[in-house]
Amino acid sequence: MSSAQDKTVIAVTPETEEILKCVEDSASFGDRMDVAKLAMSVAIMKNLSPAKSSGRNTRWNVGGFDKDGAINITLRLLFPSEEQPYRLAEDLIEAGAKYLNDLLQVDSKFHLLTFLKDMCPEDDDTIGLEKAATD
Amino acid sequence: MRYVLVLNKLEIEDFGPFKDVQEMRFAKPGKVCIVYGENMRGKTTLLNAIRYAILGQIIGRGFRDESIHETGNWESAEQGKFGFRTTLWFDFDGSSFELIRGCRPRKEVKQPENDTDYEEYVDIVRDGKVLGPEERKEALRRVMSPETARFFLFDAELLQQYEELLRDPAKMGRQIREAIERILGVPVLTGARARLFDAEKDIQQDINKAAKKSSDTNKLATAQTQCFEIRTQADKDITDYQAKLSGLEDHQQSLRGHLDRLGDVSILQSERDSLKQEMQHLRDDLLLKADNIRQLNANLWLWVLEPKIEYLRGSLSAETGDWLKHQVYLEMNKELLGRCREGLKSGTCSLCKTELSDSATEVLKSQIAEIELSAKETNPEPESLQVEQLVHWKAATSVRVSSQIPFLLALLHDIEDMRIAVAEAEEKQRDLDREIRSRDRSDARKTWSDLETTQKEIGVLEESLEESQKKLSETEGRLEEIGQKLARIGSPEVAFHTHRLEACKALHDVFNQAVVELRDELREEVEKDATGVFLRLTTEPDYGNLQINENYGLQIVHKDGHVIPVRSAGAEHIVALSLIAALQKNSSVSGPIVMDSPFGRLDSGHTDRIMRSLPDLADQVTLLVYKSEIDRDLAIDTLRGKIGHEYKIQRVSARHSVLLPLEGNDHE
Repeated sequence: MSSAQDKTVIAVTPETEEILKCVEDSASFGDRMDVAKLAMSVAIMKNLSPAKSSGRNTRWNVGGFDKDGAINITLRLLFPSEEQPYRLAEDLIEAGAKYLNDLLQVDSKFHLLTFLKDMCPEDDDTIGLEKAATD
Repeated sequence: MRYVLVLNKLEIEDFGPFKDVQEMRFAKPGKVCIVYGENMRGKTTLLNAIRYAILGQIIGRGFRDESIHETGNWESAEQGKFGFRTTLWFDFDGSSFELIRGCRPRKEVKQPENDTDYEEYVDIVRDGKVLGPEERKEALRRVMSPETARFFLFDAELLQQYEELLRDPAKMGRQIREAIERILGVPVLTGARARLFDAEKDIQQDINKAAKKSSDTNKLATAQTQCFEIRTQADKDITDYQAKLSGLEDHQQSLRGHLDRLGDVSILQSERDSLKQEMQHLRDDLLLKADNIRQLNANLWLWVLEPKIEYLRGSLSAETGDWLKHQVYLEMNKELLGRCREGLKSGTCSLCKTELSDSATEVLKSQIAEIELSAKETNPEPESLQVEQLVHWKAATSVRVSSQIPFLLALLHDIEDMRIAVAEAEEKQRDLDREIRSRDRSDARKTWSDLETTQKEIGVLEESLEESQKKLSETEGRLEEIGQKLARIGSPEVAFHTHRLEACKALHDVFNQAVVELRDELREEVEKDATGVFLRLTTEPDYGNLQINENYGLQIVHKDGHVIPVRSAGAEHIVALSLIAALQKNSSVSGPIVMDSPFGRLDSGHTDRIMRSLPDLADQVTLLVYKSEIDRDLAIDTLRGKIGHEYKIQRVSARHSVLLPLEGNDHE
């Protein structure tokens, strides 16, 4: 398998950038990259179709975005037929960001508690999120 | 006859921090309604809303009237919406009422800036019919007066005032005594007695008219008329002096309170400095916690994918594990192969160094072939990735982020609580700054001067009052003499009216006696009921009973009969609550009690006892408490089956709170 044609930079649309910024500011993320990775994960877990969009602006070099290569290998393991994991990562970030945008509350803030509850399986209360969120 | 007042529902609009329209339902009689809210969220404002709805009064700290303009919701005001409204639904004396009260900017005012820019309005609907102004006034007077409201709607500050008054009966003002007697229904008799006294005066006028008709009694009649005029003037003067005296006494009390607060400037400054330090610690802590959250959030993407990653790690373990094991096997066999080949080449066993025989050589060749064949049967690597990459990936994804989630949750809660604490502290600091600025020295000098002037005026008024009362007494004496002379020498008409007067006086005496006996009976009943409540509430087993004096002051009596001279703050608190409960029981109006932070200074033992006794204190009880005053779970456990409604005052912003109902099993 060759990754020779894969992307060397991760780019996002201005709309996605805005969403990532909003989440970063609302919920104490140290780096917008962390929000982007989160968006990617959300898209995978929620089985969202990777979003093919244009007008993306270069944002992060893959060396910085995926320092230990964990994202590359994770995507290759999860999507064995995909030959360009970073391109896939970009599309997943776009799809995941739209989902995160829907979670923004009435006051346009991203509430981490609400997000954690949303991502936790319904029958899983081991983390005690249900109680924590309604206290 | 007892009149029952039952509150049903309160709706408030833009009142204090309660923005827009919000409502709460009161518990049905026999049950308790509890509202939980942290300090500065609006608990006292809720009490004020109820007070405003019934009485049109908003009381702040130190029992001073609050500004209407400042009471409206600030966020709404910023959006151009000024004023506020309360609507209270209640039942009284068999009728259903809807009482709407509020204030709004006057038509010509676009941007209100002070109270004079507002107009107030009140409407009452009774059983579906809107009441006119006179009916409205009468209805409100019957439901609750400002004097009696203090025993139904009270907060910790008012409770503390009772405690001080009960401790020092001499301080028990005439107003509070009259308020207590009003609750107990004494004015019904004293009112009737006063009517009889007026009737006496009317009959004296009849005697006077009859006496003027005869030349024998004309002179006496003239002297009598002069006495009537002196008496009328003395009565008027006494009434005026008493009213002015009452006003000056209130003013004196207010000035004293103001001076007390002025004297506390250094305390306020020290409080403000401590608050600043506390806020700095909170902010530093907030930064630290936010940093911790940022670090945890860096791995949040892994937590989201954790189920899939765990599955992958599990499935790959089989492949990579076997392959790795095989690599180890190959490594071991490589050494063996090396030794075998060396032996074959040299013709000597590599271990024992003896020469190899032909058969040994054949065995060695066979072994070498076997090992070489085995070496070819390697497990293929997973198609797409090299094992080394996988091993590295497994290390990178080995962090179990889910184990850190509880810590993250705890941090989020801490940060939320700390942000609220900082906002509250900032608001408190602003209040303190305002208070400190307002208390400059010139204010203290002026207040002292006002107090001296007021005290002098009180002194002068008291002398004038005494003189008028003396004059009245002398005039009554003179009228008595004239009356007796007229009785002896007057005409039959005079004699007839004199008999009427004697009958009226006798009736007056009967009422007088009835008032005295009623007061004694009521005091005994209040003492008995207050004692009953007190013994249920106190945790001290050696207390025997409460003893009441003429002014409704209460003393605690030990089982051995001695009065307890010095009482703890907790005991004072219990005594005050006992008096309120006893007044409720003996009152002509059975009404609801609304208590704001009543447990603040009590220990858990007393708090528990009061909680259990709540349904007995009044027919309808509403508590406004903060979390550390009463634990919700404990309240539910203690009042099992007796909680009608629960609410929580939740912060939306520093100037916006919402009243949220809490779910519960007992709820109506």
